[in-house]
Amino acid sequence: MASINECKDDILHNILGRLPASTFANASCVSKTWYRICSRILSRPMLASALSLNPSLLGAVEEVTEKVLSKPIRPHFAIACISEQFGLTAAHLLLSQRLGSKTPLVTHIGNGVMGMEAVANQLREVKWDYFDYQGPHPREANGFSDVNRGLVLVVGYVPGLKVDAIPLIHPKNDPGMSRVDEFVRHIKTYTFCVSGYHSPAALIIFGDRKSDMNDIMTTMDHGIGKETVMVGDGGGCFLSTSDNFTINFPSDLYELDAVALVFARDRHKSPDVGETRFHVAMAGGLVPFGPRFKVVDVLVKGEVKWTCLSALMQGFDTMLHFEAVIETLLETVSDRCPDLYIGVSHGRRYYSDSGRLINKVAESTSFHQVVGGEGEYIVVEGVGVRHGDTFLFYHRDLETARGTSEVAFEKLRRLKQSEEEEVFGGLIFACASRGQSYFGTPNTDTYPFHANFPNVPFAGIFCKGEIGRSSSSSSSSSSSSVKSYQELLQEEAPPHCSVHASSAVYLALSYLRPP
Amino acid sequence: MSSSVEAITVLSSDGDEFKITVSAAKLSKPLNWMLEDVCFSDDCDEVPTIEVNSKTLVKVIEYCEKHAPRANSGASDSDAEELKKWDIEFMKMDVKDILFHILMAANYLHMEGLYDLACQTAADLMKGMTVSQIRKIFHIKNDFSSEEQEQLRRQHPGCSFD
Repeated sequence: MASINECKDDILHNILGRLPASTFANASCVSKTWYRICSRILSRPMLASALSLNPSLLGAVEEVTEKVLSKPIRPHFAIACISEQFGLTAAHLLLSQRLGSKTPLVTHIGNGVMGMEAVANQLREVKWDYFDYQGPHPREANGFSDVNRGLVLVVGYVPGLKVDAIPLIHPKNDPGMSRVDEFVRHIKTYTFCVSGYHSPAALIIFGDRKSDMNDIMTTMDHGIGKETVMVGDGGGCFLSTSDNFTINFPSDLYELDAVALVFARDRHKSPDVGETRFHVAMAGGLVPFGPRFKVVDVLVKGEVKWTCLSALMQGFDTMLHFEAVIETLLETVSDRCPDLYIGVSHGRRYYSDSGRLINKVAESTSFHQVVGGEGEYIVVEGVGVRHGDTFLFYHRDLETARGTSEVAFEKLRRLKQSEEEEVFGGLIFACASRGQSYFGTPNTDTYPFHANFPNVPFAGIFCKGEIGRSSSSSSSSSSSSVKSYQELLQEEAPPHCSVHASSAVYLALSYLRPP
Repeated sequence: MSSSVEAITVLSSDGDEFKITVSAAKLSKPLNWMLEDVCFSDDCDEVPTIEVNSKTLVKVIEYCEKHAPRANSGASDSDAEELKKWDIEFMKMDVKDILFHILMAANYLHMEGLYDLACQTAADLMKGMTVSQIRKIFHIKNDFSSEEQEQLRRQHPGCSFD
């Protein structure tokens, strides 16, 4: 009588490799031989993802979890992007239950999703029609609309790395109190405990729409080593579950500003396990135009934070009538009603011991969408603009968007041609102003990744405030004839910008086999 | 190759004789080589032996004969559908008895389709089973010490052991 014990290892390898994740976990505990074979099956990192537009939360969660857990995988981290209509708490609890309560999980409400449908296995880019930026905060609201329901789930297994979700909170009664420094310290401490270094390999960041993401990212930009890749969505709403890193805070006293999924290299990594690498490619969409202005007065109003500011044209000292300025500027743009932004250059002030300002270095840019002009004031979204900052106007430009999309495609294509690395997963963070409604063609935002890696799992999110910073060691200046967004920025503005506008950020995860 | 040969005779490991048609034998590389040997050799008396027992070989030949027309000529979608249904019926067999013999035979005879089918059947059998259930149906001895067992339980809190 033959038994499975007589089967050769490669036969067993083939059988066990077909098990769904939960049975696979059980199978690995059956015997020493099985444990060894299961460990070999999971020697490489992997990503699994699925999208569902099922209008029932339960049905959608069922579809995507069944799909992502249909193959052997141990969830090291998970990201779900859901539509506002689903109710954040219910979706988060349900997903956490399915993926294991110890799995670091971020459930996020964004402006839309991208990915492969779980059941139909079809590529989809869907923006929710209804996204009321002014409405009640989604963490409290519970929608009942039947349309615009769906979610995308991505689960990752990254041996050789340790992942956890670290939250940034602030006390409810003191909204002005920022704890970003503490947040950065937490990230570094966790990374140091795991890897012995202070800089993690990558951070995937989700910000709350109420928080000032530009400010948070500026601090993080300075505080976290340049080798760390950062991507994310700075303008949604989320809940998160951590593994080791649980800050005990009563939710009625504290609010979540942001959360970072921290990927730190494990110092106890087995030598048989290769290396997981993170690569960022960017596609822009904004072009600067007109003269530079200098901010002279700033007013902040409203809970969702608008900024009214008055400014002078650099070199002149007459107050401007901004309705007229905007009108004049728009006449120079071919697009009939382009979205207008201002790109504000923030300076960092250095003081001498006696308190005298000795230097001011411009070192970061933040983008704010222009709402309109009111007399001498211009109204923009977001906060963080200060007296003395300078800015340029930017407008959305379809040609730039298409051209830089090709640049991103090209960058990812070079990665595909690499003989030593193999891309096993991707994440896309694209501005909600993009998508089919802007390009006129479907699936343009997924194109740079999906056209290069058609069989590689990925997930995408339409966001408001996409975050992207490549690792300085891996970023190479583009040799393409098409001017990249970064090149444009470098010409016109100071170098550092982590929260973008009207752009798409591509994160490719690749595997480098052990030597 | 002589076109007059339509079937060859092979021996199972138990020494029983089996006939297999030429087109069916083409599904397996080793069988195909044997077939060429038999056809080109002047001395056709020698019957090749296949290291597979009779009970298994019956099933393997049954699979080959069923799949041969499609593999050789290509088939329409409806045929493919029908074949899929046939495969499912074909695999409804007693696990302990024959599935693993078929797996090993398919591996040994380089029959991709059958190997794939048998692996999937074995995987499907396990789906949703606990650790001890898997041990039981496949007769696997638990060779972990009780300390190791404890450690596994701690490391894999999501696993169902009993």
